Amino acid sequence: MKKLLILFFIMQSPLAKDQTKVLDKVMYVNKIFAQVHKNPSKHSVYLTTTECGHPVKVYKLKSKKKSRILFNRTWKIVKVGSYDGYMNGEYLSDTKEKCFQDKYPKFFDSLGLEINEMFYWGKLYDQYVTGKSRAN
Amino acid sequence: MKSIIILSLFFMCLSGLSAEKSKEEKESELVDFSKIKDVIKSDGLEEAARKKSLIALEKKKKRLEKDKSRYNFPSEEDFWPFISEYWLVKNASILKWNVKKPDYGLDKSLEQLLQSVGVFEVKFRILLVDSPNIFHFSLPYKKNEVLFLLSIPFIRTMDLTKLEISLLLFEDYIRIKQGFFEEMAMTKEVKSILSSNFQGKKFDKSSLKGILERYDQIILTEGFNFKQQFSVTKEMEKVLKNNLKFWNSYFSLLKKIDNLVKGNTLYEQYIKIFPSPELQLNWLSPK
Repeated sequence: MKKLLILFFIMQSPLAKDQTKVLDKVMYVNKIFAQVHKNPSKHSVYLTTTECGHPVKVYKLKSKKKSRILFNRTWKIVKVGSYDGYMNGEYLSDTKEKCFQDKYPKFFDSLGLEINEMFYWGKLYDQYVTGKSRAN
Repeated sequence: MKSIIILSLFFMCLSGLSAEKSKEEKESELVDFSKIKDVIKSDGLEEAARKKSLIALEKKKKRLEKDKSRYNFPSEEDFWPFISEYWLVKNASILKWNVKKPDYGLDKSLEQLLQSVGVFEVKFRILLVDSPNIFHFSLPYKKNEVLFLLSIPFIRTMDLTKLEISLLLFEDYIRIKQGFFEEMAMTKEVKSILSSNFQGKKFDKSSLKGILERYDQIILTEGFNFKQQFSVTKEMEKVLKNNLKFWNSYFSLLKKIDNLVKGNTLYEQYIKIFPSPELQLNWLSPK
């Protein structure tokens, strides 16, 4: 029974045999802090917290047969340090933005943020419900 | 012998650390042009040397300016989003925003309401909190972006419709646009240091603590005064009276809040923060 279960989970793995992970580009974190998740959901387990301006390797998931991109929309497949996970694309930019901590480094350092505060700050962006009123 | 080696290594490291000067600056320090003045003059190199030293001076000035800018205090525009989020992070356990919440579809309904009343190109963020300690607020944020706080128990207890919740948030939008929160939260100390520089001085963190305490006072205990509430209510009247559906919903919302604060002891505090739904109804009722 155990073996069957293991086999089932292997079959369900997102990186099945006909899919490959290809390095797409390097992007940069654009929020003060942002979380890397284990799965593409804001409620998923947190792997690590990244700071604004941190470079992140972003991957595409391609089908071997049709060379079709299977995964590169809201959630990005990323590698941050030794962590392979997912980040919300809204927290990433193609170019390095001028972050608050870069603009005011001594002020930011003087706050002496604790690790749990950085962690919560990263979580905060996952909790927002966002929207925009448009002119049309 | 060992100590000499360690000492020499230490001094080498020190000299390496201070080697942030540009190439031109170093050159102008090393070469003493006065000793070979005539040769240089005949070769027309004096002018080149003068230009070089000017470049070095300019680079030095830029380097010092850059170093000084590292000690800048945020501008007012950058300060508000930062301090509002800092307050949210510091109060995560009281506010209980770090919980899994259902999708109420508030983004779409608020978008529609804003568009219907002619408020365009405004971004918003809603942070739903699982605490009855606070009710609904908008915090100072970016120029064209609004940050809302909304209590889930508060909206659930009254069984508000999406439109009523959106109207509640729109009232908060009007309140923040009128600048009441910023006015009350800002302290003299912080106002004087914003956009200034603290190089060579010690940054007194207690000034920031003062602002965070003001946030606590406004959101948790003191709230707004009658004059401010009157101004917000009259602005709501002006905007919503053109649309009967919105106008009736706003009236029904105020009635629901009035009934809640009168009948539920858990929400008695509401009239201290937003005085008062009963008065708001009176201000809006035709005489």
